[in-house]
Amino acid sequence: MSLQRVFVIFLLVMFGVSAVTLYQVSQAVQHKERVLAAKRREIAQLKEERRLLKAEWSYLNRPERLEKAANKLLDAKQISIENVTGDAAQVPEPDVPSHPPVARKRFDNVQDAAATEPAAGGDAE
Amino acid sequence: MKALDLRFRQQHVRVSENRDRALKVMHGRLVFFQVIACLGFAFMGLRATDLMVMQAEHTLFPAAEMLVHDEAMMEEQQADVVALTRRGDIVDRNGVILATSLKTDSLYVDPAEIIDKQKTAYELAKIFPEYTADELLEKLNLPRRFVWIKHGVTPKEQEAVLNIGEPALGYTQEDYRFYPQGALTSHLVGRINREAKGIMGLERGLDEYLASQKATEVSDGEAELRTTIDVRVQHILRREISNTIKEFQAKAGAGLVMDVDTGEILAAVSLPDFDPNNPPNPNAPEMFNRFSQGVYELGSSFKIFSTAAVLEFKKVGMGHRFDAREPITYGRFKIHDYHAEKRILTVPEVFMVSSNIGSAKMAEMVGTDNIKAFYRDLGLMDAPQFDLKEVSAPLVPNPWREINTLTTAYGHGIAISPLQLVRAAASIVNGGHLVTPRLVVTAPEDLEKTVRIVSEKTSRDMRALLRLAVTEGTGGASDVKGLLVGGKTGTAEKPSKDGRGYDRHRLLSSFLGVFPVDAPRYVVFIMVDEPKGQKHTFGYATGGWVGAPAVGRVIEAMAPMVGIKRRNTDDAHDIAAPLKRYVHFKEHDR
Repeated sequence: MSLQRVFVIFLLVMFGVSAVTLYQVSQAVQHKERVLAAKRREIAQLKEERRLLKAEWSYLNRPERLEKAANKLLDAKQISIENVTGDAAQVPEPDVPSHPPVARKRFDNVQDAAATEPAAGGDAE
Repeated sequence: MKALDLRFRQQHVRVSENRDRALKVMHGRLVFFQVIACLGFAFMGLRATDLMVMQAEHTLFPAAEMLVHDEAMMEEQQADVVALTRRGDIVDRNGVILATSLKTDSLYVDPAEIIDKQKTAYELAKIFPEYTADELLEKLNLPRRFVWIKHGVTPKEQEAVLNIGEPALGYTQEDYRFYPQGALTSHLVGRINREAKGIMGLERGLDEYLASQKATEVSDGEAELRTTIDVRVQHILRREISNTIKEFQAKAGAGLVMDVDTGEILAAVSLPDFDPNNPPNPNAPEMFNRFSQGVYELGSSFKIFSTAAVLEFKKVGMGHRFDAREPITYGRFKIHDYHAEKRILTVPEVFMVSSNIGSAKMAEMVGTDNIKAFYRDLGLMDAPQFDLKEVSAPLVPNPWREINTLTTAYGHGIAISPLQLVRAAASIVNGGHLVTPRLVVTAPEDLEKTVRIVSEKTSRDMRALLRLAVTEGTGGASDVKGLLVGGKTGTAEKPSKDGRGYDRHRLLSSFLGVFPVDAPRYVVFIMVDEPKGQKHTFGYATGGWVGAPAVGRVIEAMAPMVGIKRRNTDDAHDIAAPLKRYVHFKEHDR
């Protein structure tokens, strides 16, 4: 077999491999595009739903409506200046059972980590 | 013979060689085409495997998938376009939505394609009771290919329309402007027209700002305009004005709450108001904005400015006396006191008992040029710059005569908007810096604080006088235990309907409160139009009886919300206490 023929066969094989690879890439890209488009559509739809829910939330939380509902359903009076003692730290802790130990520990860890974290943005020098 | 035989053999071999070569070439070509064909079949096999096996989890119908894909891309592009052109939301200072744009479906019809017009009109009228079948039939008979039936159709209505089974009915998506707070912020937020153009309130004043994505603040990829309004305070103010209108059988009312340092407006109410989601006729009385568009002779509240002017320009002490024994007669005009003391009054007494005579004499002392310049500096002589376009220029005497200097000292003969009054009062009590009324949150570093109106001392003195007017004067009903409230009542007679003089039975009663008055944070103003005297107010409908209690209730309710704490307000802590030595106490009317 002459060298020329080997070269031609090699080219044909390479051509075939390239064609298959290109095809696979093309298919993969199309698939990704479909997934991306679907996700984007889903995001757009969710954003629209969120807008609607936010508007509904604002509508349902109209101060006038809340006031009427509170007057009707709660045995509570409107807060007056007499009820304001100062800042939030002065409000006593409610007498309720403590958090489950695991959750408490995790919360403590977070606080500890935050407390020991070095201040960001300091000069390296 | 041998030679002949040899030549024959040689020729035979040559022919045989040529045939073998040709066969080999043919064979090679056949193999080549076979390989190509095999590759082709292999390719098709692979593609079939790919579609049926590898992509099987995505869809069983590749064509439909591609269609969905293309539609998705188109929808996505449309969504991008909508996001770019969508009008920005308007939110209050805490992020509560005041106006937002939502996608809604609108129903249209192609009358040329409709099968049974009468039946369709009848069915549609059942779904949309706001239309009669005749009205709808008229629409269906229009000689056009596109007619709107209804904008903003609900999903329930859509389902009902679908059940009619009329193919000529179709939907298109539109942006619908929704105002979740309804009437609460109607005059502030305003509304847009069908072409999405702002025609009232902030929607009009900041129309370009809201329509342009670039200009608005972007939050999570969406545009919004953060205003200075606090819906909680807005509700309190509206509730109290509304209750006062009912209590005094009044015609209308208005009010404002302004931050004295920044000029930020936390609340502004004009009653009657309207629901921007379902607006009335543009000429309806409830469409009129009374807090910035209406101008009124606001009466004694103006004494804040004439008193500040005499303290600032003439540097008079609190013990300076003004003779209020006799009314002032100026040509055909006579200036007298509503609560006549008929004695010589000190500066605190003039302010406390709201003496017109004393205030007129103060203005006379300051001089016409000075008083005019002072009013101009306070923004009382020109239309204010404001984020709303519903502002009016004040009605100022033209030409300004000497008598006008005297009458304007107690708010007579000059008509300004409540917004101007509140702005000017805030500028006096905040230490003396002119504030700009604003409805859009501005970064603290961008707030200009350069124009001084009065000195620190005058500002301090005015705060003490305002407190005195509450503790000992006409504004007592506004006081809230634990809060240092200062303020000034205002009662003005409205011009008579026949255009001759004033009608003493048609009042404009108001109160301007400041709290905490020793270190002011907010100015609260309430004005009530034509209140009627009640039994429990002994027939009075003046600012002290009408406006002051309402302002007191607003202050009491809003203080905890804005983080103002209860204080010790006894004499040792009261800034008005040192003024009491200038006051000669006696029984006087409220």
